[in-house]
Order: sequence, then structure tokens, then C-alpha cells
Amino acid sequence: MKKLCLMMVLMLIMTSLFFIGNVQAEKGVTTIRVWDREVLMETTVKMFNQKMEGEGKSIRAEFELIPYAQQVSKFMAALAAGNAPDIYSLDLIQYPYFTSINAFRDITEEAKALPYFEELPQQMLKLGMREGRIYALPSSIDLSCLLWNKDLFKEAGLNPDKPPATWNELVEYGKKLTKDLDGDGVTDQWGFALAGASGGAYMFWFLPFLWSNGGAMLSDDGTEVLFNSSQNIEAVQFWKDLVYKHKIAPKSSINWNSGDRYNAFVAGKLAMFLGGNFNILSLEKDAPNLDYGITFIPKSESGQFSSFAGGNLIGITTQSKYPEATWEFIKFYTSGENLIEVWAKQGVLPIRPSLYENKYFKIRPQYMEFAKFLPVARAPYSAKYNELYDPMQYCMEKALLDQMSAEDAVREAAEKMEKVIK
Amino acid sequence: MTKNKSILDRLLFDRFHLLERPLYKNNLMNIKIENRCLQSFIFLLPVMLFAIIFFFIPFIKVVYMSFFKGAILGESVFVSLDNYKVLLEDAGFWRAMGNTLIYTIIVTPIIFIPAVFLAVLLNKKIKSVKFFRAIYFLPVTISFVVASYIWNWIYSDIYGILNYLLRSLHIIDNPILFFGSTWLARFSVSIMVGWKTIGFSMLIILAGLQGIQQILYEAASIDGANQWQKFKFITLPLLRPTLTFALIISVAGSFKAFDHFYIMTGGGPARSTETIIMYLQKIGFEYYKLNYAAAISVIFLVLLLIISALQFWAGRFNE
Amino acid sequence: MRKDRHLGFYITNIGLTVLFLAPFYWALISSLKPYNEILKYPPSFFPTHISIESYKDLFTAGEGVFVFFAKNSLIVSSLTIFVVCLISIPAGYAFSKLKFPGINILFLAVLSIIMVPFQALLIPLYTLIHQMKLLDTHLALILIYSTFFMPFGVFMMRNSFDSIPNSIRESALIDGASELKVMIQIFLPLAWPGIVTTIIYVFMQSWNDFIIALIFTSSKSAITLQVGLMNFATARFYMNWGMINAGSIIAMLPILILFIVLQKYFIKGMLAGAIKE
Repeated sequence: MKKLCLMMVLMLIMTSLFFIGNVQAEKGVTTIRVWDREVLMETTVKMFNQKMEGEGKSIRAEFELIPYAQQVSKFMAALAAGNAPDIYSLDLIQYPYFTSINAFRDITEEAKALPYFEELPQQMLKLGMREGRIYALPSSIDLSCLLWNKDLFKEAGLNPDKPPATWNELVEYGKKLTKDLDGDGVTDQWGFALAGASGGAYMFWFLPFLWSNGGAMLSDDGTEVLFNSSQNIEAVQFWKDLVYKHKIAPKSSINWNSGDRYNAFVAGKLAMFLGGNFNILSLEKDAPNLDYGITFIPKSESGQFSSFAGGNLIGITTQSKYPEATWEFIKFYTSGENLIEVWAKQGVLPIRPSLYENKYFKIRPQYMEFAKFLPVARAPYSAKYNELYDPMQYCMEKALLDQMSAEDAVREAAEKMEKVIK
Repeated sequence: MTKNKSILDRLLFDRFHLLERPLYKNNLMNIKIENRCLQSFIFLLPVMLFAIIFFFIPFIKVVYMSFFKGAILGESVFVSLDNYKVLLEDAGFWRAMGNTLIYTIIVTPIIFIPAVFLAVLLNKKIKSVKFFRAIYFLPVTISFVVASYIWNWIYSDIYGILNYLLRSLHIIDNPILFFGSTWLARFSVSIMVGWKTIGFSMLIILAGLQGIQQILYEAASIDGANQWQKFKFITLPLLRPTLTFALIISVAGSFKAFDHFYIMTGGGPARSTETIIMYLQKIGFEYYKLNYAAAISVIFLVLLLIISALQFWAGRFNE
Repeated sequence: MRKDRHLGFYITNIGLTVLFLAPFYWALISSLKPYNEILKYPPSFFPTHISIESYKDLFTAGEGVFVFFAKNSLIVSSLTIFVVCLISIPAGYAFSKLKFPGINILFLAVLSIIMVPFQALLIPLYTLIHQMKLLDTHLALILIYSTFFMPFGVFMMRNSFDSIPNSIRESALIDGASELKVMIQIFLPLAWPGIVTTIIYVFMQSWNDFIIALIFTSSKSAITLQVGLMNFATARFYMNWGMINAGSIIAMLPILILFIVLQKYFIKGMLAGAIKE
């Protein structure tokens, strides 16, 4: 009996330990909580704390890593429970919604007072704005692009330094790069692969095709659906043709996620692949001998180059009680010290183009290419963005699996999107 | 035939004694009865608390919530049957229902026919039966998440062992995209679920088989019946209650399908494998339309109840 | 004649065994191959050499976050087992030995929890947990799991206690023992098979749960193994098949080991679990 009692007491103690959550033991120190989906932010936080200590300021930051899949759900839960973080570096595409529910602080004056305000990428800044007021600043950039395997180009008799610039060239080169190497009737090497498997992938890699042809998904302010247009139908048809007509992309690539495409590229089975700046460091590790290049996503004959401006924006939540301390952090974050020594060092594009010429990028010239993409990159603005993934994915899949014509797919997608936006 | 109580009947009804009142004339014992009430209450309190707070109240709440709009962020507004009206016209909802139904129809025989076969196979008095029974049950113990990843790896069109084997045996030339088309995706997932669930259904059917008395088979042998006739005229009819029971559980389980579709197909291709629970999770926890999701939950509950009741009734009817 | 029949039996069963175990084998082998061999085509049936690099990658990824997943699963499952035992043993005892008018209604009420799929109650449970400020905590999972798994425990315990003759209890009561003492000192030791079965059932259900953990947790302090595995597999832009296979093996190891050791109870428990539904 006594043993049982003892066990129960022990268990009770263990249980009650879980009631003891975060105990802010430090008195007199302002602790700000920073959330980010990027692991690198932890280094920034450490550097910030060191700097604050060095300057004798009693501000400390605390970092929490948010898994990519839980960016929104965790934030929603925290907002509703009243314990949102002080600072959140969140996918820029989510900001229109969160600014509409007043989750982030208005930092217009402070932002404009920054000496480098003018060089911040406007199309990213726009996503953190509402009615002319600024609620967040760009914190990291992701741009979509085309990577090509120079060795495979050489083997196919193509100029390894001249990637395809237009849709026609993509098809032409792709045909030469799609081969059945062992004569068993099955293609072993593909010239190209579609980017699908998720709504996000279609947004990041398909929209630039659409945009380069003059089409659009939404109007600039996100209030109108412009998806049902002949330019868009052409773009969808082009992707379909890549699989069925020109046969330079495997049908299975419709279900490939980024990992699958990346693996195929690394294994030398894919000559040209849709990727982004985040592939560069991994390629260094996984395929150090692969000679590759980075270029724009091919545009239609008469169109303009385009790219998707993805990445994060960093903002101060309205629930934060420390407007000065948090601004201190944002200032530090956007300083050259942080952007270069922490982020550029690990291959993340600094959000201030003037910092592109830094020592880390000098040894990896591929990054300089991205400076070219930024001016033509854009991102759609909508508070209901999350609900647009579904119609996009549904209709792209229906069209690409040849279960629907391009026209029907585009029309249906537009109808569904209109229902969402309404 | 009524003498032959099924294992189900035995377990449910024989133990279910009604209140036993001790016939003591001793006064002390009468006081003890009142104490017993209080003690019983205390013993039952924790369980009842959990049941009330985390089950009964939410049960009432979900119905209540379905008549409102705007939960979590913002004020809740009463909208009576609006959510249900929208539901009727919601293509996504109906598609999810259809997908769930089709999946159930496909997967149930994939589970049951092998399960019956295995149960009959293992219904012998050989010692190694226990070993094989455990083997077939092994996949039941792991999670659907793990099973999904194991099979994703097997089904992969680039690295998958299945495609490799099929191609080596020259059954196919090009790798099959197991999740590339609607029906193929449904079957591919169903095969995985079959592998994972056959052992469980097999156990239930085996228990039912073992409740059938050997004498019946021996008598039939004397009458000259062969294996198939014995199976058809003795086994199947006597197995009916067990089969019905196993079927109810299996169908209910299929309707609740979430984990494996979430991981293997993500609802694709083109939303053809998005089940009702996946739709619920999307509406409630990705779009945060909590009240609308509550309406979906209510419909789901009612549906499941009706289907289970129908199965139960159909099973009893033929006795 | 007899030998023939047995031969057919053995051939069929061994063939089926190979089929059933093949996926496990393939996952295990894939997790022990060096990374570049995993992606090789044609795939190899035996690794050229055993490599644990996938496991190393698994445990070092994301600054060692995988260990947290395992820790969380362990904590939540253990505490759930503790809570379920704590509350269903007295309840089972009451339903078995301490009956009063109307107790059957309560019993049916508890059993009805099994009839209703918890998936239909996710929405109100979410609002409740978040009102209690328990979102993303171990406690949230423990409370929910306990509620939905305790009916099995109650049913099991009641059955176990039913099979112990009332006379033992009555003689102990006459000797002056309290009901509590009777329950703990006499009935519990006799009913341990039922307890073991309950423990196995609760462990399996809480360890393997995905949707509840997915919805109610989101940070590494609370995410369980199943959700963590999914997070890894869907990690941004890079899916490492070696890691996923290694993670799958780790995620299923505890339950497999438990099963192999305690088969008898497992199967009995599943049967009882099915029948109670």
C-alpha cells in the first residue's frame, strides 16, 4: 500500500511538472519572443543578444522554430489564445490575411525612417501593406528559377552556356535532352519535369509561366479573379504539351514534389529543372561535381521574364507589449551585419540588393543571378490566399492528367476562385 | 440453431446481470447499501468527469456550433440553418462524400475476402497457428502513418521496388504511377489498408469460426457433404453475426479514413481521394471555418449512425 | 494423408508470411543502406554494406528535433496509460461490484463514447482546449486520449472484476475492509491480465494516433512521433527517403517489440476491443 502511495505521489509530481510552462525568471530584462520557420534565425537571435549585452541594453530575444506546415495554424492558435509571439517572420503570402485581422503593428513611420528603405523589394513590401500602411518588412527572399545541367547539354550537342530563354527553345532543347539511354524503350533521361504535387508548387513555378505570357491569377489588389483568360489557357496548354505532345517531361512528374525533382536532377536523370535559391547549398553538398547554371524561367515568345517573389516578411504583432525592443530587433535584422554574416553566409539572398556584393556571394557567383530575377518577380496579393491553393491544384491536375481540356480547367478554376474571393 | 450462441451474444449478454439486491435482513447491511451508492459515485466520478467535459459537452456543442458563424476570431453570430444550406451546394463536400463511399466499397472486399480465407486457413488445431496468426496481425499494430510511408516507398515510380519487380518480370514496360490516376490511386491505397487491416478482421472471424461446433461438420461429413458445401451451408450462415459485426467495424473505420490519404495522396489526384474527414480537417483547421466544419461533423455523425444501424438491422434480419 | 494436408498448410502460410513481412523487410533494408545506394536503380535487395547514416541524419536534422518527437510520444503515451488506469479501475470496480439503480445507464453512456467517432468532435474539442489555453501541450493530448480510450479500460476492468467471485469481496467486507482496500489489495492482483491488456491497447492507440496530435500540437515541445515523421517527410524542398525509412522503423519499433513480447494480451485485447464496439 505504501509503495502504491509513493508511486502515486511521484506520478503526481511528474504530472504537475507539465503545468509549469515557461517561467520568465529574468526580472528587469525585456524578453521578446521571435518566431521563424528558418533555422538560421536562431543564429540571428544569438548575435542580437550578444550585441544587446555589449551595448548594455536589457533586451533579450528568444527564438522558436516553427515547422513549415504549421506556420499558419500555430499562429492562429496563439493569436486566439492571446499569446502571440512578439516578432514573426512568416511566409509573405500570408500577410494580407493577417493584416486584415489586425495581427501586426503599423510600422510605417519607423520603416520609412530606415536609411535603406528605398532599396527594399517593393513587390515584397506590398504584401505586408494594407491601405498604404506598412506592417512588415521583407526578411528573406525565395525566387523561382530554372536550373540546367551543363554536362548533359554538352552531351546533347547544345551550348552549355546558353540555356533556353523562350518556350520554343525549352521544347527544342528538351527534345535533344530526352533520351532512352539503354535502348529498353523506356526514357531514362528527361529534358524537363513539371512542378506539381501541391498548390504551393503550382503557385511558385507555374505562375511565372502564366505571368510571362501576360496572364494573371488575380488583379493587383486581389479583389478580382483574372484567371479565365486566353493567355492562361495557353500557359496551361503549354505545360500539357510538354508531357503529351513534345514528350520532354515525364507524366509522373505531375506527382513529383520538390524533393523528387531535386533527386532526379542530382542523379543526372533530369537536364533542366524548376528550382530556387534554396537548392544551391544542397547541390553543393549532394552533387559537388555537377556543373549547372541558373537562369530565368523561360518566357513565351512575345512575353517577359517573370519569377515568383517568395520568402518571408518580418513583423511585430499587435499583441506584443514591447514596441521599442522589437523595433530594435528589426533594425538589427535588416542591418548588413545580420544579413551578410548570418544569412548570406548560408546562401540566403539578402533583402537589400546593395548587399549582394558580399564576400560569401563572391565565391558563389550563382547567387548574383538572382539579383536579375528580383526585379521581374512578383507575388499575388490576397487575404484568402490559402483557399486558392485548392482550385489551382485541382484544375492543374485535372488538365495535366489529361482528364480535362486546358480551357475547361482554366474556366473551372476561375469559377472556384471567384467563389473564394467573393 | 438457437442453442448455438454466438461468441458475440455470450460476451455481451451473459455478463450483463441486472441489479442484484442482497436479501439481508441485517440492518447494518442496509446502511451499507446507501454507503455503497456514495462510494460507487466516488469511484465513478473521474470517468464521468472526463466523459462529460471532453465528450458529452463537445457532443452537444458541435450541434450548437453548427447553427452559428464566426467562431474563434470574431463574434459568434446565429445563422440557423445557413451552414447546412451551403453544405447542400458545396461541391467539395459532396465529392468528399462520394470519395469516401467509393473507397469503402473498394476496400471492404479487399480486407474481407482474404480475412475469411486466412481465418478458415488458420482454424486448425496445429501449434504453429499461433505463430502465423501473430505474423498476419503484425501490420495492425503499427500506425497508419508508418504504413503509409513504407508503402509510398514501395510504390514509388522512380525508386520503388514494386515497379522494379513488375518490370523485371516483364509484366509492364513503363513504371506505373500508382497515384497518378483516380482509380489506380484508390486501389493502391486500398491494397495498403488491406495489408494493414486483414489481420484484425481475420482475428474476429477466427473467433467466430471457433464458436461453431465441430459436431455440425462431422454430421455433415457423414451426410456426404464436401468442403465447399460445408462452408456454404454451415460456416457462412453461422458466421453471419460475426461477419456483420466485423463489417460494421470495418465500414465505420473506412468512413473515418484520414491518416493514409493525407500522407499517400494528399487528397489527389484532383481531389479524388479526399475523404470526408480530410475535408473536415481542411475546412476546420486550414481555413478555420469552424462553424461550417461543425455542420460537416454533425452530418458525418448522423451518416455513420445510419450506416451502422442499417448494417446491424440487415445482419439481424436474416437470422 | 495427414502429412499432405499439413504440407499445403505450411506452404500457403509460409508464402503468405513472406508477403506480409516483405514491406517491413524492405523498409528496414532501405534504412540501412548508404544514401546513394537507396536511390540507385535497379534497387538492391541487400545493402552492399550496412550503413547507419540515415539514422544519423535523422537524429541530427533540424538540430536534433527528432529526439523531441520521440520524447513527446513517450511522455504522452505513458501518462495517458497512467490516467486511464487510474480512472478506469475504480470505475470498472463500481460497474462490477457497486451497483445501484440506474448504474446501467451510466455504463451505456460510457460505452457510447466508443460508438461516436472522435473525428466528429474535433471542432468543439479544439475550441474547448484553446479556451483552456492548453493548445500545443502534452496535457491536451493526454486529456483527449484518456477520454476516448478509457471506455475500453472500463469495459475490460469490469469484465475482469466480474469474473472474480463476489464472495471474496463480501468476506473481506465483513472482516471490516473498505471497498477501496478490497479493490486494491484483492481484486487488482487478480485482474492483472485485464490491466495489461488495457495498457497495451492504450499505448498502441496513443502512440499511433495522428489526427489528434496533428490538430492539437504544432511545436517541437509537443509534437509526437507520427506528426514529426510527417513534418520531416514534407520538409521544405527536400525529401530524404533514407531518413523517412529510418524514422518509420523507429516509430514502429516500440509497438512491434511490445507486441512480440506480449502477443497473447495484444490479441485478446484487440478482440475484446472489437467486441466492445
